[in-house]
Amino acid sequence: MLEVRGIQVYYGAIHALKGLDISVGHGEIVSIIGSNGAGKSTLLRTISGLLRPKEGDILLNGDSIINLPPNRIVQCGIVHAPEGRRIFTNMTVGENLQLGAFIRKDDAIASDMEAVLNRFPRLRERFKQNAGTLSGGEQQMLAIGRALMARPKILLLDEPSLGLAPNLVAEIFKIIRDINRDGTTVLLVEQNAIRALELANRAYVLETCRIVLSDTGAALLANPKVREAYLGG
Amino acid sequence: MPLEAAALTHQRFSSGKFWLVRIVSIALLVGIACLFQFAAVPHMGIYDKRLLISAMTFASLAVSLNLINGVTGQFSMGHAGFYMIGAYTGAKLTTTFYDRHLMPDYAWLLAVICGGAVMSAFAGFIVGLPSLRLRGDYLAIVTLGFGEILRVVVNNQDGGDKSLFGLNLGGSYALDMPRGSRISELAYIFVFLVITIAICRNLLKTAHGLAFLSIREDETAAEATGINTTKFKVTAFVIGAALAGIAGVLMAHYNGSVTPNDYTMDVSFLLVTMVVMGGTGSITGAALAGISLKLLEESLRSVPDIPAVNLWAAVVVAILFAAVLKRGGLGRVLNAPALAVVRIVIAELTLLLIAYMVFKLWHTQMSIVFKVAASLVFLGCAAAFHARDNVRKALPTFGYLVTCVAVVLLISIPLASAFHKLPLLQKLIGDTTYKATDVRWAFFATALVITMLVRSQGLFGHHEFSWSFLGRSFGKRSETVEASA
Repeated sequence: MLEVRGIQVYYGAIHALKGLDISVGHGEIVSIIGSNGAGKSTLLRTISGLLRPKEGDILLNGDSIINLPPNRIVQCGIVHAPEGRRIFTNMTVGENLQLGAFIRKDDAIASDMEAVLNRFPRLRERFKQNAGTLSGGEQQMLAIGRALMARPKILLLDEPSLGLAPNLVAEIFKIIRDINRDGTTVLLVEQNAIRALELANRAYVLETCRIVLSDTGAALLANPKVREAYLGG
Repeated sequence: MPLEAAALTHQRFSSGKFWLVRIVSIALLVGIACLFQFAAVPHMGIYDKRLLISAMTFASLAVSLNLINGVTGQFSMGHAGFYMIGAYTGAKLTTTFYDRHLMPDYAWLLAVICGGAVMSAFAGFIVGLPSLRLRGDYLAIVTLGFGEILRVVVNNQDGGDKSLFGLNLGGSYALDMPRGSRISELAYIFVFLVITIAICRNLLKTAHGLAFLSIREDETAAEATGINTTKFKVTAFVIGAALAGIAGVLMAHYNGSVTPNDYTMDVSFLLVTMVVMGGTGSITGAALAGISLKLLEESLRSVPDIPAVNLWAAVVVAILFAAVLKRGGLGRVLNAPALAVVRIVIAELTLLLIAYMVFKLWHTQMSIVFKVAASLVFLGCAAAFHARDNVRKALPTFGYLVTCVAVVLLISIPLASAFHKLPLLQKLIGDTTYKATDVRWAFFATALVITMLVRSQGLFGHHEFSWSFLGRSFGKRSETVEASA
């Protein structure tokens, strides 16, 4: 469904991604794990059009999306929930969700809002509250909910467990699994390697700007090298 | 609660009610404008009229700048430039083509307004383009440069060698418009102010309005959400500039001439100050701050001259006083209940003092506009004090401040006469007096500093005027507030 072919990305003079190839199949959950600064977020930012690669190509269902601006990419169905939640803190929860559906013109927005509020009952409780007053977990739910409002075909999630208490992390991962079960493909970037590998159909290990390993989630979970480097032995 | 989602995503008004509200408000607007024009204006002096007009013009400029600076978060400091383009386009069109037998005045004015708006909008488009690459302070510098370059260019357009295409805009002198072309009126400017507010408000009510706000909140997130940030940033610049241009046209046709000195950096700075003071993003705040700051600035012109010795004595006493206060104020001497009583007494005394000052103001020679404005401010203060908890808490502090200032001034009197006896000081500043027109900016700045210290998020913060907001401000608590508290 989504295919990334040999992309080279630079931040000024810094070579941030050195020829990456990944692919995401329809209905999969694909995880990308790796240490800080390996280039995980850069990869997602490149796919969603926030960064432009020097070389390489990104294909969605066989069509190149490399030259599209971010808003067109969202319209194609690739929706990015960026790292650090980045919700609109001075707007209400409802307005945040409404903005998630900004690119849509269809009539199903209200019913999708209902679906999101059913998925995250806490957001319904806080519907008219300023998003900045939410707790960290609620903000993460709002960030995911906002992304869902765009009706993504592929959801790009960047560190959804960042800074959350363990029980909330479990909840968020359960929600991601549910979203995937309802038919959305998920590309997940995570530092919490165990959870990410448990959840994933397939996974990639990103190290110093390159893919060094790729396999099914279960196989990587059993791989001694991965265990040593990312899972604490 | 599916209603909530439905209410947000569907039109708020049914179309019948929507049009009824529109028609009634337009009728009201026209009615008020006519009443104004035919009942009040003939009794006003030229100066009163000019004050009102410049206050309303600056209010509309602040509202249009608010769209760029406050709502979309693009820090523009070149608003005077757009204002200038409108004014000069209008003035030049009128000097070249105006003929009172050709069409009625209001039709000509409308035509010129369109011309000025288009030119300013185009400039807004050009200036908006850098905003795609620059953020924050960098954009501020670029827009500041735009305004100044424009002013310098106009300064040289006198039809001579240095003029582009031999264009004559009067150079550094005024470009005088022909007799009979002062076709703008107070009522027009009033209507324009209301229209500006209506445009900005309606723009923000739509789904697109949220898109403008989202860019200020978090540009990356807005982009990731699928909002075409490029389009919205440039749109904000274009609309803001066009509105400023129309203000320029109206002002030029009221004055009958334009001069580059009316469009200096000071104007841009003043406008940015108004937006910040009103609360970034708040239309209500921008409009009110626009009116009140402009009036404050003008009213300070009539402050009497101050002998230098007195001023310096006051400054010295103020510094000493502040040093003493730092070691502990009233709280050290009094226990809590006594302090509470003292605070209430101080607060009420402050209100009385303000009332007395307003009363005195009515007996001075100052313009009726100032008198009415000051009275309104007083009424607002008094109402807010008696209805709002947080204002009631703030007023004693304010009163305390006023008391301190009064004490400082009292002590400074003997000190000033002592200063007069010092030969050295007598020699240095003995005869100097500061003209109010020179030091008024210092007073203006002091007023700004105090306001921003007291209320750093601006007068209105992110809020807008609405009847429920008013009700909430004056003690009524709606359910949503309690739910979110």
